Amino acid sequence: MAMVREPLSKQPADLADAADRERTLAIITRLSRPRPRCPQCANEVSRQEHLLAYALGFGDDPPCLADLARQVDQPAMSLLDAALGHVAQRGCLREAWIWAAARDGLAAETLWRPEQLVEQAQIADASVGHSLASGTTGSAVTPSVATVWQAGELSCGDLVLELRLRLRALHPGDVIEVHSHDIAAPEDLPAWCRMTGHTLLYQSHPVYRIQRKRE
Amino acid sequence: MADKFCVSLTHAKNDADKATVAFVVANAAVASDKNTLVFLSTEAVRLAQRGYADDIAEEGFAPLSELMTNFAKAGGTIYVCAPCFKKRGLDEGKLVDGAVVVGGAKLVEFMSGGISSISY
Repeated sequence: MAMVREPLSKQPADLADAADRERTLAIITRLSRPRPRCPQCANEVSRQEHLLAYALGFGDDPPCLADLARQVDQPAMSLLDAALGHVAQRGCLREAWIWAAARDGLAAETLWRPEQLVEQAQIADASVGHSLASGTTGSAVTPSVATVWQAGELSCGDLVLELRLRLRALHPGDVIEVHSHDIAAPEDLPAWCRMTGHTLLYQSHPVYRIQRKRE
Repeated sequence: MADKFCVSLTHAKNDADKATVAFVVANAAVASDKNTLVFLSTEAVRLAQRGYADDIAEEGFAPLSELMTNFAKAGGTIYVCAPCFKKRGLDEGKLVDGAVVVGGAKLVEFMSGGISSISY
């Protein structure tokens, strides 16, 4: 297992300018403090959750991922994807993320798809999905799958166009399980869900579960 | 003023001049604190393979591989068109830094809501 490299010393050399280096060091200093606890559920907030919360403006008293999603009123998986995309594209945030991953001993191949956070997000979305589907609150139960679609190698516009048709044929709240072997599906399906408002309940390529939105 | 900037590139060694200039402009954008994307499609997807751009050096510009490395280090993102990539039998295990294989939805998401873009 390839480990994430430790990219930073006291003076990181990779960043574009001194101001960016200072921002990175300030973020790392924040992440180096004793782990905070979520103001809502009181669970310990991991370094990665803390960084994501910071990136979204919740640096002081950072919530856990599930509560962050509730606060911004977005599905947790969609929020995780969007936040990771944002972090990856900002030099200071990206370097801090890499630093945090190295501290936590994460494998390089899961750097931008941290398994624990993905699992947390899926559980959070499943519990919300259950509430929407049945009108009840309570224990987290994944909504049952209404239909399974073997999408094969369909890609790009072909994939999402047919997905749109198949979802529209379902009742609001129903779940479709998509089996896609498109190499771009891990990026495209979350993006498509974010844009269209459908909920990505589960993602482990090549399997994706998407809940039709209520319109 | 749009915060996002997209450079669309469709050439590789078939037009090394355009391939180079595209990344020069992309670096200008990312250096200007724009959230910058280079979208590679058709022949340009070959640039996403490690080693492919190593022998591209246009007169008056830094070598293309160096431009691409600097772009990624500065926080730029490279989207690589999945169907074009697959059509050419390329290896997603040998992507250059900052590159990710995507389809249309990911590109549309980036470009939605107002964006500046330029094509080569």
